[in-house]
Amino acid sequence: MMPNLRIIVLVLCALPIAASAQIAFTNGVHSLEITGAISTYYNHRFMKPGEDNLRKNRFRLRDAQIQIEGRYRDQFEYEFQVDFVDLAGSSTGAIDGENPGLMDAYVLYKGLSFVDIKFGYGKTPYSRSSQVPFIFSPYWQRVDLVRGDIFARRDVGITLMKSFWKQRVHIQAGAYNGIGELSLRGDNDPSGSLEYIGRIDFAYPARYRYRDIDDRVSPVLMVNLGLNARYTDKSQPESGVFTPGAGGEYGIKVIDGVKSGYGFDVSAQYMGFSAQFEMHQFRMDPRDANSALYLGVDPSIHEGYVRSGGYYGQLNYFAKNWQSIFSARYESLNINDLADGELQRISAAYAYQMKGYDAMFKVQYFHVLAEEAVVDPLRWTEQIRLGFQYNFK
Amino acid sequence: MKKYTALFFAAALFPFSYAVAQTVEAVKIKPSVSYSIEINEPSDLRFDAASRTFYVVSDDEGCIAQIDSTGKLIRKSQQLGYDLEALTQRGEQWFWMDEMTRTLGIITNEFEVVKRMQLSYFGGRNKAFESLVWIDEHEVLLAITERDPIWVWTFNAALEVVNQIELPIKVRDISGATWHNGKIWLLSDEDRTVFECSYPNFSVERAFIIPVINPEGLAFDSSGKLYVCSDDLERLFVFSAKHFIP
Repeated sequence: MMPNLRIIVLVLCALPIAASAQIAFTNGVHSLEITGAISTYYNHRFMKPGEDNLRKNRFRLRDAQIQIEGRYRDQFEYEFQVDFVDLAGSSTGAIDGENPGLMDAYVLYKGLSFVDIKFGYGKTPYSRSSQVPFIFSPYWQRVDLVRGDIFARRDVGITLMKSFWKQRVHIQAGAYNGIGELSLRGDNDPSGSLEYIGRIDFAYPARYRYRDIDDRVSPVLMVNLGLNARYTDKSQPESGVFTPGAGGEYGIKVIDGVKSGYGFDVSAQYMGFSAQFEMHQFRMDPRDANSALYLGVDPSIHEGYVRSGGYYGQLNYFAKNWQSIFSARYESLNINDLADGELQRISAAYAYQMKGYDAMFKVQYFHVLAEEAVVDPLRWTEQIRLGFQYNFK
Repeated sequence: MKKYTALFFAAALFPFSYAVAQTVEAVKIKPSVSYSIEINEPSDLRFDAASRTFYVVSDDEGCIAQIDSTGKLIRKSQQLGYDLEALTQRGEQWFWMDEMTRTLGIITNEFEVVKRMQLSYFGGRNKAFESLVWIDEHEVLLAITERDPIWVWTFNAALEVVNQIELPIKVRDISGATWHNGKIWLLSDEDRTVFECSYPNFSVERAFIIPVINPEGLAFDSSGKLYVCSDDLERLFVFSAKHFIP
């Protein structure tokens, strides 16, 4: 083991078990709660031969979050959440889809009997994995498919939602600007069009929360099936200049053209064991016949569209008496089907809960099996990330 | 060797994990029968010996409801709050608790509001008072917070706070409590466990693991059967009295 890794493990194990508590205020009809999270990890990469830039071997403050949640009678709920680390980073112009500075700023109106209405900025109802709050994960990173570079995880818009059958069925549908976190800059892209997203969850025998770990050690098998889809036409007008940065790391998050996607996910949990499987497929029809998305491939081959998509499967076990979570996952991502290869990775994670999720040591190991070198060349083959998260919630 | 680094970390932490493992021994028991409850999200449960029926609170509807022993709705009150999570009985009066607003209310058998008062508690909005127990023998009312931490506030008959202690039991949460056969019985939702404890020192005498999803309230009827309500399933589970013979 690397000497610096040994030291870090010893320091993390020596961390005191601190008490944690969120703070709430109420005047009898309106309650307001303040919570937050701080997490830091050390990352070490095992590089390919010849790669000598080791800048990713470093400590990183991942989260420094404050969250304010409120409820007024049984009519309004609201949430405001900000991450100061990512807020500082995004001031340079770059926005990390997995860790945007502003995480939530929305109001939910529950005063209508037939539907609840959520308006503002927050997670779009697409991908179960994206909905799971990161603090409940033993991992330090989401799978690449749902990190926010293939599709937007957050946006400004309006969501209608309704639950049925003792909350076992939950339907969400909404309209959003369609440029993801860049919506916070105020304007839409020159097309002025919106993105439409819908999702439905079926759970049995009881409602299934957006959590990966069976920390309640379910006495009966619980399952959830989710279906979701999204569509937008962002074909730019002749005079328009496509919003810089909207395409994300791979240039496909938002495209000049039509982008549609669909996916499904299955989750199950029983007696501390849990499993998730999720798959997404996107079709992109660029407006420009010479779009860079075609990678110079002959039109007779690409036929005017590009596909992107992938899947992942994850297995977890919550060992209650050991206050531990064990997890392993496999992920596959094809960023552009016109390019050879695809990203394939396995990861394993272990989390030790000093005080539930609120004081938790986490270690994640990554191993790259294959890569899509044309669009996402990697300099490393393995990576280990270990650190500590503390939530005052 | 580098491929096994993560495995090394996990293995190194096991001894530390085991050292703090749960020490309470619990018996697994199964319900004899269960019934659907005709009220949304039942969060607490009490047996009324006079009418031989049950009363439940609904955090979704913010009301108290009377049901029979098979979960059928007999009647329900007007909306009293927004997040009712606890219920207990003193004579012909019912105490209820709104967890979100920390409101302690009193209502009669006829659902007439007698009193309501707000407790000053700054813990998490959804980690506040989820259990109420009136103990006739001691003439005290206990209000117990759900978790982080689990406080037991003791009120005298005049509803003045006379003591506050942290529950001395290793358990993740407490979602319900009741008084039966001279003992206090606590229910943990996250640990799916019923604890029989002495009072007032709360030492665990017996523990029972129950196969119920999201158990939020418990009550004994006059024959000693245990009834547990599941919030998520909106269901009433019945356990034979033989498990709880002293």
